[in-house]
Amino acid sequence: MSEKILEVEHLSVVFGRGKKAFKAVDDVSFSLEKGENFGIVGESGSGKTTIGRTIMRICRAAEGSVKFKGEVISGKVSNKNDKKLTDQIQMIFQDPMSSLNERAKVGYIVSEGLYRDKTLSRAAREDRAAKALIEVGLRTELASRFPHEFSGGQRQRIGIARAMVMEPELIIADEPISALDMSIRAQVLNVMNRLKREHALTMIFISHDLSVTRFICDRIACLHKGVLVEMADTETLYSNPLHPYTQSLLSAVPQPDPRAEKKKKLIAYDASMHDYTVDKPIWCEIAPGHFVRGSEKELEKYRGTLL
Amino acid sequence: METIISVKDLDIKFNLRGQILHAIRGVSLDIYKGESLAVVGESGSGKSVFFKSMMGLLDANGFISGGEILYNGRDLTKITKEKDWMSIRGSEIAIVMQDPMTSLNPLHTVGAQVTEAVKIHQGLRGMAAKMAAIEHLADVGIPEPERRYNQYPHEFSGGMRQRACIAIAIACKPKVLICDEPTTALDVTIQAQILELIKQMKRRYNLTTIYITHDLGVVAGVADRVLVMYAGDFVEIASVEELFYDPRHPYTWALLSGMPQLGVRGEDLYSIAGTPPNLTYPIAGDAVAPRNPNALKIDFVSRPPLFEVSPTHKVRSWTLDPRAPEIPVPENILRMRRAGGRGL
Repeated sequence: MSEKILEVEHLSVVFGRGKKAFKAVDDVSFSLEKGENFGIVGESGSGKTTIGRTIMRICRAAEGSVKFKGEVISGKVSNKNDKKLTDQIQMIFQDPMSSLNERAKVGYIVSEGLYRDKTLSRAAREDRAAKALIEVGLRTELASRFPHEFSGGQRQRIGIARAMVMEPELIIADEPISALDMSIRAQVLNVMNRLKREHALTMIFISHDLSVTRFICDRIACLHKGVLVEMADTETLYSNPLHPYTQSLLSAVPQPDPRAEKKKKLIAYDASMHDYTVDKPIWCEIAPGHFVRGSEKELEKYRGTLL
Repeated sequence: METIISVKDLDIKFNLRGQILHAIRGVSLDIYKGESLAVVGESGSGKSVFFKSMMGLLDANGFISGGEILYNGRDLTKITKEKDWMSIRGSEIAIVMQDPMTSLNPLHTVGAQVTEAVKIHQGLRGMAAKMAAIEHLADVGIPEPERRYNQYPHEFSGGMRQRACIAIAIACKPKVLICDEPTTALDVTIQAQILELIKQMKRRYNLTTIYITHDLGVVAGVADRVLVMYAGDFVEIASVEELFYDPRHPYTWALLSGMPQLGVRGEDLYSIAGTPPNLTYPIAGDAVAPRNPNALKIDFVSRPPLFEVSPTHKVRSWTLDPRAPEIPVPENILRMRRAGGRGL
């Protein structure tokens, strides 16, 4: 068993209070091992970004906890820890057009996070920024240019370099390729794949596109309205989805195969199909490493399909 | 098959502060009545410009510098007055834009915006127009259309907004529906629903549909015929089966191989090197050549003609010339052909 780098336990996030309170994330638990690429999928509004933001400590956990390398990071942390965590958990954003400072040169954008370390000389900063740029496949001369001089794919790679320069242990990538054109998606995916291989990076990949998560993630959790409905390693989830919501998401992924597409039946998911009035749903490990949410009766049915 | 739109040697240029950008470079295409045509290409390949020119929706600095667009025999390039476009726009050719958040007016209710189209294009007034608009909202699958009629776009979800846009397009009673990246701003489940809706509308109203997209997965599901564009030119035109099971152009291979659906986890995805050419400079030879690892010498000298593979399959590449050396088809493409029909 390798080291657990992140443990999310019974996490709930609530926006608003009193009558207006809205539970965006409800009792979510998962853990990440070092070097793992974990995908969170779900439709818009399912709370995937909120989970990412809570791990980043932008949103506050209402219940439950987030542990990073054994230490609780949700709630109050000491000043020293706060700095350390900011360095070690980095984020890659969705839209490279709006997430880069238009008025700063690329060199500054990439090295900005290093400025807080007062012991670092200017030369050392520039050196690390240059290294990060090379890592994502950009030439170091480009450091003196402005973001608008770059294409979408290059800009997203600048965003990745900005995260990498801090030498993080955990990266949260929030829909990093949804805003990109098809020919540069592959580029960016390859860069992320390579960085993960070479640096044993742990990554949380948030996406609604199941064809992309299949390509890049080791393990995937499926989120519906703030509740985890299924979690398994990638191949298991794709070959044997148990929860009807996972099945409906999978059926919606377009296949580059016209004959298969013509035959395809969309599986619609309707939450009212579950009768949870008496038989309360539980989060159950139905097979080793394969978790699914369901009532006793449903779990019985799922077990049947597994055999 | 009956032709509804016939484009001949069309040239479109943009004036960028004195510099001329050659956005569409002498292309010809027949669009058949009732077909479903998908157009794919990178951003900047001219796919939107090409179809917007059919509705007179080019930006002010854009102009048609040659060729003709015949719609039922009428040359659309000859239309100069905005007033004359009104007989084409909406009533003959309608468009559904990419981002429903920006294509709907946030200051008017959704109902008012559908009613506007009903009034102009169906000539109805007052209560009758309102009833027709509500019917259109129900037609595109918006639940509780009477209540939704009085709501503003911000009260709609992304998928519902796109449905409202489709309702507006349909209310114009068009013959041709252009969908310009109709689902790029939506997530997969909603995307599938919207595509299904457009297909339904096509059957119900006998539309000719044109999908502009950069998602090849979407193309496989919706198209009868596919057009691949690069740098303002058509590089491959084929039936959807030919394009996915027997693609011939190196650029099409590259696009198909770059799909994550075809990738193997842990290995690199194929990605096209380089960037599209700058269209403010003249292009010598094949525009794809600088990005094609197997480019021939002639690719840099002379523009390839459209070679005919089958009556429905045309490819603009010198690799199709009988004198050209054989280039092996990439493994990914062969895998797709073998999977044909069984899914990947």
